[in-house]
Amino acid sequence: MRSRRVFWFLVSIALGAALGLIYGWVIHQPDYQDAALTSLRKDYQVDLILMVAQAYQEEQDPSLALRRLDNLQDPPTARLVQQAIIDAQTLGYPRSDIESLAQLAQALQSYAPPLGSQP
Amino acid sequence: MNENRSPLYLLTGLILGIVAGLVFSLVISPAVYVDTAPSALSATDQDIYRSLIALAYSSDGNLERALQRLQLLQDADIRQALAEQAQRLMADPLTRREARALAELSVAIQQTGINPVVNPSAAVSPTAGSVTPFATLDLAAAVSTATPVPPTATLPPTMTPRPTFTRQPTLNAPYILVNREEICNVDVPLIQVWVTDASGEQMPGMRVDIFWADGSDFFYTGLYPQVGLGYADFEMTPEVSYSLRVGESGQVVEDLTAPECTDSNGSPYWGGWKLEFSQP
Repeated sequence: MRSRRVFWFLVSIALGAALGLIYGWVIHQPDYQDAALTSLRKDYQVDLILMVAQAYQEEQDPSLALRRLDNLQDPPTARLVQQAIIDAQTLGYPRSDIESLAQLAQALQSYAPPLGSQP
Repeated sequence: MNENRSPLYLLTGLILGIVAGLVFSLVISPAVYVDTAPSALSATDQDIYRSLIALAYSSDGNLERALQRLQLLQDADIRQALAEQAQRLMADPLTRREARALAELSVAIQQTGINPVVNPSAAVSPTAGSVTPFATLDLAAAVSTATPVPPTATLPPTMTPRPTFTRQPTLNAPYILVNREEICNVDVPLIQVWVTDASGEQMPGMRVDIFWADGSDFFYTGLYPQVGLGYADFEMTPEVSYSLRVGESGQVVEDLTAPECTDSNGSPYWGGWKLEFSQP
């Protein structure tokens, strides 16, 4: 009889835990209009990095580009842009866009030694 | 005897389970958004995204691409959103460049005669696929599932740019000064510019160039729609003389220096100018 009570006690705990998880993960969702740039879908992130690269084309200021990339990675690294180049190629971006990204990646590598030495 | 025991132990277990589940799902491993769209960003991050769109447009001049990117943010009125953000950023010297880029993009969109309006009902609603309790996204999975075209080409079909009638600035028609008056009802020494066309309609998107002894600047009408579509202003530095022109071949107004006003206590303060331009 005791083991049966223990069994149902554990079942009730499991049921309660399931209810708590459903509430926390499904019902009580985070504010849908409060997502961060880091949560963007991968292709949107690539486009965002491309926009930073396009702005860099005109400004030629690596520190400014780094500050903008800081929104996606802390601290931002040249590797972030290099990965974006790979993703952009996968996504079929035109050559001119890839070149913009490549120029930014190159600028970041030579801008600050710690960035280029990031693993 | 045992069989008649209260089932309170089941309720205790249930409560213990709920508490444990809540602590885990809300504190230890709360749900986070991954794979979101730009429209789900916080207001701050949407501003960053919008600024980057404008800066990219400023660099490549590709208006179509800028529009596609802007539509991803699902602003109810894209031009209004650009203008408002430009207005906010203009106050900070560090973000002047972004403000200019935003204003220029707003003007460029206006000059196309198209005011892309996003249907509010098209706003993306949370779906099970957009929220996941998993803390991290498998990068490889994200790439492999990404749309095989740039995101600018993946607009929801419900967002349709709708042509609306927009008054176009006539770049070649000269704007002449029709009224110039000193104003004292200002907190800072402002040059207030009002631009109307020949029929008296206010003209947004007009570039106003301003010059002084050792510099120049420009701004656009229409960035303060709450004041007027043909309105723009510029804060003067006291005791500096300015010249101003509306449009490319408009009349140049010279000798604009902040006038000295006097309040009710007799204390002096800097006033401004109200300049009204129109087409003949």
